[in-house]
Amino acid sequence: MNDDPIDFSTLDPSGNAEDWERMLLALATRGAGRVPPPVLGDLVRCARAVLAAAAALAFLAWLPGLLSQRGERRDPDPVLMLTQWAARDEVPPTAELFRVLGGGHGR
Amino acid sequence: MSGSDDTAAVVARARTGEPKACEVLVRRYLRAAYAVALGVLGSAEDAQDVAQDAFLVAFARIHTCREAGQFAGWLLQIVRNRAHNVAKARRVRSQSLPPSKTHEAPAAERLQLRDSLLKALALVTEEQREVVLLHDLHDWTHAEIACALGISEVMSRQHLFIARRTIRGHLRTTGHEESCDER
Repeated sequence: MNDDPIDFSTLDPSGNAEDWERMLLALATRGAGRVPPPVLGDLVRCARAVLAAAAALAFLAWLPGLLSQRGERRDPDPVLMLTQWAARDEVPPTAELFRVLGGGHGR
Repeated sequence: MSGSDDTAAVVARARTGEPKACEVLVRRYLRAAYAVALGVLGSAEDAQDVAQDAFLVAFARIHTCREAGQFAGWLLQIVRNRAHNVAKARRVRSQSLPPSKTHEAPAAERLQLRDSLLKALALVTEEQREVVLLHDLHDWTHAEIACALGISEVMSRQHLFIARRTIRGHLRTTGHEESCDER
């Protein structure tokens, strides 16, 4: 098996040394002009950390709301309550019925 | 100082917009960028455009290169992404190059050989193309290739072996055995 390199010289972009050198220098000059100023660069580098901190703050601000919603959900389950009343052959007070069925909240 | 440390130092200088440091990076990695773009696009002209374009993008985003010592891998990923975008947009195919009709002129011979090489390259996987071009066209070592492409050195050797065997096989069928010989 031939282990020698394949001759790719026809595909070599640096075949014309003069053109290659000119292009290379032009690219380096244009590239240097594209580098953002250091301060902006620092901001870009810090962007991830800032984003993470903002996300953490947003979560902390949202957490109390979530917990209070969970508290509200401790309301009795209407189906369960109705079943229990039916099983016990019990007639609940009207106010209690509204509370359980949510009639007072327009739900 | 290791190569990676040296690169990190040059990248640090380039981050300040120092033209000389940018030139060092272009000199060091433009050919590799071209090889990767060629591996994706199969067109030398498009590969040159994409390699240069990717370099400009890399300089504009150089502050996001988190590991300066791994600049090559980071740059080549930009090249790969942009080359894939171009390939998708232009539907570039190496086979679309018209075959040369004349055999007399040396320029035509070279064009034909180039066409055969591009067709042969299209027969191997993208990663195999990158490895064989970086190794045989740009003389990168397996260690350098493994680091830049994020593969093992063993895998790099395997890719090179398979790519060379496939490309040589194709060149033989097209009557370009001489380009398989040692340089």
